[in-house]
Amino acid sequence: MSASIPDQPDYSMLSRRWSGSKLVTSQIALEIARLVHTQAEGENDLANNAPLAAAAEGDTWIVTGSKVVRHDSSMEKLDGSLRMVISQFDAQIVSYTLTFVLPRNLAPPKSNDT
Amino acid sequence: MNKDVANSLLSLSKSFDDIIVKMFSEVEKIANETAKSRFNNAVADLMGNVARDLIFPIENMYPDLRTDNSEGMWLLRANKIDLITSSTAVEIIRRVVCDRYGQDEVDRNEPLTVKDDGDSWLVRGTMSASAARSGRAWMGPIRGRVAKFDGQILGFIFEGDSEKLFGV
Repeated sequence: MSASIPDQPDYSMLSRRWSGSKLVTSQIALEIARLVHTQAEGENDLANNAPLAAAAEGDTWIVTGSKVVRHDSSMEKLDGSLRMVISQFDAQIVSYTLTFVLPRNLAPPKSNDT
Repeated sequence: MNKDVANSLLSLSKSFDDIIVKMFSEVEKIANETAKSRFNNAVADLMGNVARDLIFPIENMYPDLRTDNSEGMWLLRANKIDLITSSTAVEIIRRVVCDRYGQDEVDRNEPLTVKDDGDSWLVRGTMSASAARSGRAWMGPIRGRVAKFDGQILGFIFEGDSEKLFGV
């Protein structure tokens, strides 16, 4: 492994990729999402996202949280539900987002005619 | 909207990415916490509006124009935020070994050690000689490498495995 290029897969992973061998099951993807999200947002937010679900899409697992989100302009931080895309081949997190509910201004524009 | 217009509009909308990262970076310099929070939300709303009202509808209209499947990651990369701690790296390797070779193989490798190796974590099993003899003759300790940024497993091999298969 010392001969590998830093930040690049070595021969052990390239050979698996070539043969189509996938290391990551849905259960492993769920655990990765739990560990990473706990580190990023805390245990309470993970609990609010429970249960997490993993669905296969192509060569990835889409892990989604079940958090019910709403927009509240008084909150200091946007609140969102977990969504993480993880490679089935090598566990690479290719996307990590929180699905926000964004405000939509439904009020008519203010008139400047005074 | 025809596809050429959609493509052009999508490209322009995505060009906001760099500006938004720079705006977040500037807002971070505001000393007053209330003002910082207010402008942070303003930039987040701007980012959300571009995504909600331009990028997502256009990509839904023309799914084949969707080229970037890395939502959220560019922002982490720009801010040099790594998602994977040393303990997460160990757990990823432990889970994969358990799934493919069983809990006995995990036990033979425990405790797993982890070493900082620049942009990645090196995870190794600490198989004793007696533990090694209890397993497959050619199967030495596990050696895995996990990217700190996004958890990509960059290497996953048993040491005896590499000698037998690759002569290294």
